[in-house]
Amino acid sequence: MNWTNFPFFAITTSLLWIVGIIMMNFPGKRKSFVLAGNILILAGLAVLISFLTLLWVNLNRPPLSTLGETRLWYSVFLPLVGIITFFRWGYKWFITYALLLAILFLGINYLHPETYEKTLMPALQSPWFVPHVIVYIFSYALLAASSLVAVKGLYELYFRESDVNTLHLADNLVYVGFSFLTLGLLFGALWAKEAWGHYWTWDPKETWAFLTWLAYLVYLHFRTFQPKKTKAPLWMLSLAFIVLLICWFGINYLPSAQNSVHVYSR
Amino acid sequence: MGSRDKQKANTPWGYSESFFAAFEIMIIGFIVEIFLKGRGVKTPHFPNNMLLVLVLTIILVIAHFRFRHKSLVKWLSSVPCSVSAISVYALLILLLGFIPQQEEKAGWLQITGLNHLKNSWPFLFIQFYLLISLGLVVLRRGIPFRVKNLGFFLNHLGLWITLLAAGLGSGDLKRVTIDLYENRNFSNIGILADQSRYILPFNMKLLDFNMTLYNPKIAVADRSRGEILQKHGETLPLISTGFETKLIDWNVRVTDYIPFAVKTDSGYRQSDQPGSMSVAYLETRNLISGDTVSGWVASGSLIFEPRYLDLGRSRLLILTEPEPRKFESLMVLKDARGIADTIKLEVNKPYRFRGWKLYQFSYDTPMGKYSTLSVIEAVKDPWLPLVYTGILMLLGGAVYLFWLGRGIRSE
Repeated sequence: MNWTNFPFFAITTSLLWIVGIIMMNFPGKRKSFVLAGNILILAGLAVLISFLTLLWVNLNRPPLSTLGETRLWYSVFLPLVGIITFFRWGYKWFITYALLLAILFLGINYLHPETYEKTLMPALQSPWFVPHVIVYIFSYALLAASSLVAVKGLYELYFRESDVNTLHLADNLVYVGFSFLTLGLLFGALWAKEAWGHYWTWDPKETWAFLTWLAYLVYLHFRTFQPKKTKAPLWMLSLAFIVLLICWFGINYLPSAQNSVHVYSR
Repeated sequence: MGSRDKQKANTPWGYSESFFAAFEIMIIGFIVEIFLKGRGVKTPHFPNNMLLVLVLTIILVIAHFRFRHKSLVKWLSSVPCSVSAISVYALLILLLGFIPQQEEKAGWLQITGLNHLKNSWPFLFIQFYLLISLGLVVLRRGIPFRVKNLGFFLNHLGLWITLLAAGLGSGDLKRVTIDLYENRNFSNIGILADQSRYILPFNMKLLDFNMTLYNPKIAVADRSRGEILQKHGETLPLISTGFETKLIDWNVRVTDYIPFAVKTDSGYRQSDQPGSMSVAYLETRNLISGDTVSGWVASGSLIFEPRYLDLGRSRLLILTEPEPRKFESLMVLKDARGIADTIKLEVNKPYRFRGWKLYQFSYDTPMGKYSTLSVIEAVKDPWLPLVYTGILMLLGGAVYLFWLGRGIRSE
């Protein structure tokens, strides 16, 4: 199993998902259609997860080190987030969006495969590696979704009628996303203590991760205090996501980040 | 929501006043910093830092129980105050995220404290503002304790403990590196970050520094551009004897592989002497033209030049330098009473000894596998248990937030 086998799995998954989306959104409220759609989506997910598993086995290391590999995890987690939110809160449009975004990420990996190395430097050979990165990617997937919801909310606010449900969905996503963001940050600190001697060194990635955390913290507090206000929190969410993006890959270009251990080369 | 509206009505200050206050605190901090010519804040050591923790706690407890109905205390534990504190704190960290933190002799970055923000007065002031607000919030909603407030309690008290212990505890943090050479005598001399000496309460002796390597990889490179060529999605293969693969337009077979070799007049022979390198004998066949080329490739080392196999048309077959898989130090530790311990120290696996944590830190990188130097880091952080208590509470709070969330359903 190798990245050369990726197209087969990516195409199979994408097809299953596209048919699943169509089934779920079929006009009329046919329960059997929704069920069949769900089964297809889960089947697509299973195909992708088997590729991920086989890749992991083949590489002899967790496939979590390159940006391309993180994109692959992203395509696994986004549909998962979609499925969970669908079962918990019943947003059909959201699962559609999550799947389309996941297909986009699969597409990027299909068009721009990277160099996939088998070696893993000693500092990354730690039991913390997998939970730290997976929790972060899951959280990023949720927060990315929340910012998209925010953009939808802003559109409604300025051009249509404001819908209170939009902000509620954003809230739900931020709550879960923020809890995973916290876990990722703390796992990182605990790992750093084991690997580098201190849990916090204001490494640029740490600084920006902490900033991201604070940005969403402001949002959460603002929401509990004035739940009726909608415009400010919607803008806040959009801005918080920019901080998150800088943290994810923007820091590679910052003057303050030239010595960071987190600057992934390529 | 009713209680919150009431809270708002009874709180004298809203967002604008809170932000005004937070900015003012930050600006006063900068003024103090400039007034003191950018010398920053010296983090207090034990017992002064412990004293500060106690004083802050007592002030907060008194403020809560005696003056909780006064408007100042009410405002300090209100959401606008918290939001202003977090925001201005975030603003300072944003500056920290953009400006390289390197102290200089002079210059406006030094005078204003912008190049040593985490030790500057504005940072200290805002952190205290945040801790006061957060502490009062914990007391207001945490007492009397109710189970439905568990998540709130874990998150807020956890953060308070973590920030306080990490901030004030840093004064007692000791991090030193120790250079150990194989077969030299016991040493207890550590070097601090400012290059000054620090005598450790125990001795260390390095018996053996050991490194295992991954096998080298083969790759096709472009001679004129000097870069490795790769087909989309293909992994650079790690080689071993008998290994066969397809690389770009060539079929490559490894007929001989010597992990550690030196050059001789007639070729290569296995050797463990420092400066040895990886070599391999490769047989290649071009899949399009059918041409075959065979020969040695060598990764090169401190002593020997690398060797490539010319495939024609400006294409070379190269052997990369093996990457470290694992490195470790076999060493003896001896405390003041002469009690000894023989250990293996490895990256990501620190060892605890007499209140210190020891880390495999570095080695002589140009020498690689043949380094006789091992750099050990020793860290002592007496506040760590308190920081971990805070972190554990935050972890619990995060799980609580995930499970219970807010559970708003689509309407």
